[in-house]
Amino acid sequence: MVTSTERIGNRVVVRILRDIDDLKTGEEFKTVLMELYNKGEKEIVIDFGDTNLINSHGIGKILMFYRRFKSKNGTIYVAPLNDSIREIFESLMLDKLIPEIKI
Amino acid sequence: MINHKLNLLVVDDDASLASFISYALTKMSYTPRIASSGKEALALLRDDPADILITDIHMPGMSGLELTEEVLRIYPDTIVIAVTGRGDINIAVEFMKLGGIDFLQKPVNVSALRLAVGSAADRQRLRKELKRAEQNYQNIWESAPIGIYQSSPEGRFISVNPVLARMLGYSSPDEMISSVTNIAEHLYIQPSQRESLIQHILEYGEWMTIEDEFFRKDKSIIFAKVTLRAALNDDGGLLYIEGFVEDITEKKKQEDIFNLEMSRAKEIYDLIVKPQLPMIKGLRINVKCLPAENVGGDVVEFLKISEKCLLIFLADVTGHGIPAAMTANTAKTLFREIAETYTNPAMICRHLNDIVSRITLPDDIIASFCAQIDLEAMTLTYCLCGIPAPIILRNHENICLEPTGFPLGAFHDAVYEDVTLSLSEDDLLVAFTDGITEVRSEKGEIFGLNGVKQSIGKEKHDISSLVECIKESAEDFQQKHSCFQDDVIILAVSLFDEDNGNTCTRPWNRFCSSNKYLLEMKTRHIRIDDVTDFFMGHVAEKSGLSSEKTGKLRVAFFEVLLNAIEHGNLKLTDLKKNPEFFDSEKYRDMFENRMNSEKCGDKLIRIECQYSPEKLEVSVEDEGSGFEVESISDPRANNNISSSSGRGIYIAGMSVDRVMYNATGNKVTLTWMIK
Repeated sequence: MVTSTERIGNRVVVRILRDIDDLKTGEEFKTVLMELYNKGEKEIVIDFGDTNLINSHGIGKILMFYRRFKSKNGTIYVAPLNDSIREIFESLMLDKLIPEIKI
Repeated sequence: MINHKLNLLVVDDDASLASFISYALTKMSYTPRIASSGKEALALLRDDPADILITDIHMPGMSGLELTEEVLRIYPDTIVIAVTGRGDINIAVEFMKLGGIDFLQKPVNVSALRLAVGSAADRQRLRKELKRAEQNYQNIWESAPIGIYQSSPEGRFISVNPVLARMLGYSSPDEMISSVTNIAEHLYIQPSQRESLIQHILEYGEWMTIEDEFFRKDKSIIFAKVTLRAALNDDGGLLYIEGFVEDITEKKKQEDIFNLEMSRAKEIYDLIVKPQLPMIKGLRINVKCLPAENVGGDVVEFLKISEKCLLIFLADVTGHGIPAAMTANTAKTLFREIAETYTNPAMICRHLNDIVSRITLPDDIIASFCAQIDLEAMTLTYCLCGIPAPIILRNHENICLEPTGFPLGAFHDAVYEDVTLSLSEDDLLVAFTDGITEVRSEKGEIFGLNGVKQSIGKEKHDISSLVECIKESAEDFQQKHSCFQDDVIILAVSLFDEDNGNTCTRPWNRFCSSNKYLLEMKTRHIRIDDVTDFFMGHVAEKSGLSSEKTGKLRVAFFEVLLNAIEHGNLKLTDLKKNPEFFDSEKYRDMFENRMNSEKCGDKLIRIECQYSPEKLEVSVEDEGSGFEVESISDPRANNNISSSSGRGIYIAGMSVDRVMYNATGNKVTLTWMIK
C-alpha cells in the first residue's frame, strides 16, 4: 500500500505512506488516483505526510490526474508540504497549480 | 495418526464362541462381521476384504489353516489371528508359517483377545500409513513436474522418473536407464565435467545447484537446472548421486534474447547520451553521465550556434530503463531538429512541448533546461522546466536560476517564456538532474538543492573540480560510492577570457559516462605531463588499478600524446629529424612559438577512452595532416628505438597490447588488456 484514503466531509484525503519513486509505486499511486477520478470525486487533498521524496514517477501521475480532474471541474489540493517536497513542487512549478490547504 | 476404522471378521462354527468374541470386540468399539464357516467367510471377504481375520482352526469343511492360506493368497495384507485348542502347538507353528500373525488359546480370555487385536490393529494401521506414504512418494516420482534421478558414481542411472526420461527424449525410464551407459559421455557437453562436478559436490557436502547445457537422446541441447547432492555410506564413501532436473531451455532463451537486446540498447544509449562538445573560444564544457541502469532517461546536448553562441539542452524523462531511454532519445533528436530553425530557448521549448505532448504517455513528463549562452552580448537566456535549479557561480556568489515553465509534456497548451540574465567573465554555470538532489542519506534525509549549494560552498571552483565535487558530496551524503538510485547528469560550462592569460585551470572539454571518457583540448592548453597525470588518475580511479599496474599504459599514452602534438598539430617532424637542431634551444623556442600560435596552438587534441571489464581502448587524435600509414615500417621494429622518428610509437607498441592507426594517420588507438 502506497496510500491510504479517508473521507473528510466532501473531500477525500489521499495520504502517501511511502516514497513514490519507482515504476511500481508510481503505478499503484496512479490506480488509486484513477479510482477516485472514476468515482466522480470532486475534491481531493494529497497529503505527503512524512514522506520527503517524490520524483518524476509520482509527479507524472499527479499531473495526469490534475488534467483529467480539472476537465471535470474537480479541485485538487495538497496538505501543507514539508521542505523537501516543497522544493520539488517549486522546481516543477506545481505550487502554482495545486494550492496548499489545511486538513 | 489418523484412526481409520478397521474392518474385522470373526469365523467360527461355534456360534456362542463367535458371538463372545464379537461382543468383546464391540466393547473395543469395532463392528465385526461373523461367518460360521471358511466358505461363508470367503464369500463375505469377496464383497469387502477384512483388515483383521480371527478364525477358529478346527472347523468342519474348510479348516482354519486352509482358510488362512486362501485368504493370504488373495488378500496378502490381511492380518490373521487363529483361535486354537489348548496344546495345539504344532498347528500354531504351522499357522505362523502360513503367515498368521498371532494365536489365542481356548478358552479365549478377553484381555488376551484385546492385546492380540490391539497389536494387530496397530500393525495394520502402520501398514496402511506406510502404503499411503509409498503411494505418495510414487505419485511424486511419477507426476512431479520435475526430473528426478539417482545415478552411480561410475556413470549409470540407478533410477529416473518418467518426467526426466521425457525431458531428455527417451520413451521411458527403462529405456533411459538401459541406453545411457555412460552419463559423462552421453549427457555432458564436456564429458570431463561430470568428474569435476562430483568432486565439487563431495567437497561442498550439501545440495548444490548448477545451470548448464546437456545432450538429449537425439543430441539436441537442453539447458537444465540441476540440484544435486552426493549420498554417502557410513564411512563417508560415495554411494550414489541424486538430484532434481528442471528444463530451463525456454527461460534461458528468453533471458539471452533479453540480454542481447539490453546490450544493444546500451550501445545505442551510449551513442545517444554522448553530447557534442563544441569548442568555442572562451567557453568550456564538462559533463558527467551516470545512468542508474544500463540505459537511462537523462540526456544532454550542446550545439554551437555561432563562434560566440552555445545552446544547451538538458532533459530528464520520467523513470529509467528502456522506456525512459526511448523517450529521452526522441527528446534529444527533436531538440536537434528544432534547433536548426529556432535558437531561442522559449521557442524551442514551445515546439518541443507541442510534439512531446502528443508522443509521450499521459503520465510521462520531460523535465528540461534549455539555455543559450551568448558571449557577444554576455547573456544567458534560459527556460527552466522542472530540472532542479541550475546555479551560476560568480566570484563569491551563487545565483540559482528560477523555474520558468512546466515540464514538457505536462500541458499541451502550456506557455513557455524565457528569462535573460547578464553573464560575467569567469562565470561558471552548473546544472544537474534530480538524480543528484534526490540522493538520500541512511537516515532518510534528502540531499536536495541545499546539499548541492553546500557542496559548492563559497570557495572558488574551476570547471574540472566542480562536477566531481558535486558528485562526491552526493556520494558522501548517501554513504555509497559510484551508485545512484536514479540517472544522473551533471554539466558545467565555464566562461573565461582566453586571450588575456589563462585564468581557467585545465580549460578542456570533458565528457565522462560509465564506460567512456573524453577529453578535448587546444594544443596551447596542453602541458603533456599534466594531461598524462590527469588522464592516468582517471584510469586508475575508473579501473581500480594501482599506478604500478597502469605504468606501461602511462608510458604508451605519454608517447602517443607527445607524437600527436609534435608531429601532428605542431608539424615538427622535419625539424626533429636533424639531431643537432632537435637538441638546441632553437627547437624549444620553435616548440613554444608554435604551441602559442593561432595556426598550431588552436588545433585540437581529442583523447577518448573506452572501458570494458577486459580492456581499455585509448585513442589520441590530432588535427595534423597525418601520415601515410602504408608507408611506415613496423613500429615495433627494433631499429626505431635509435631513430629520431618512430621511437615514440616503438615504445608505445612495446608497452601495450596493440597500437592501431586510422586511415589518415592522425589518430592512434592503444589497446591495453587488463590482466
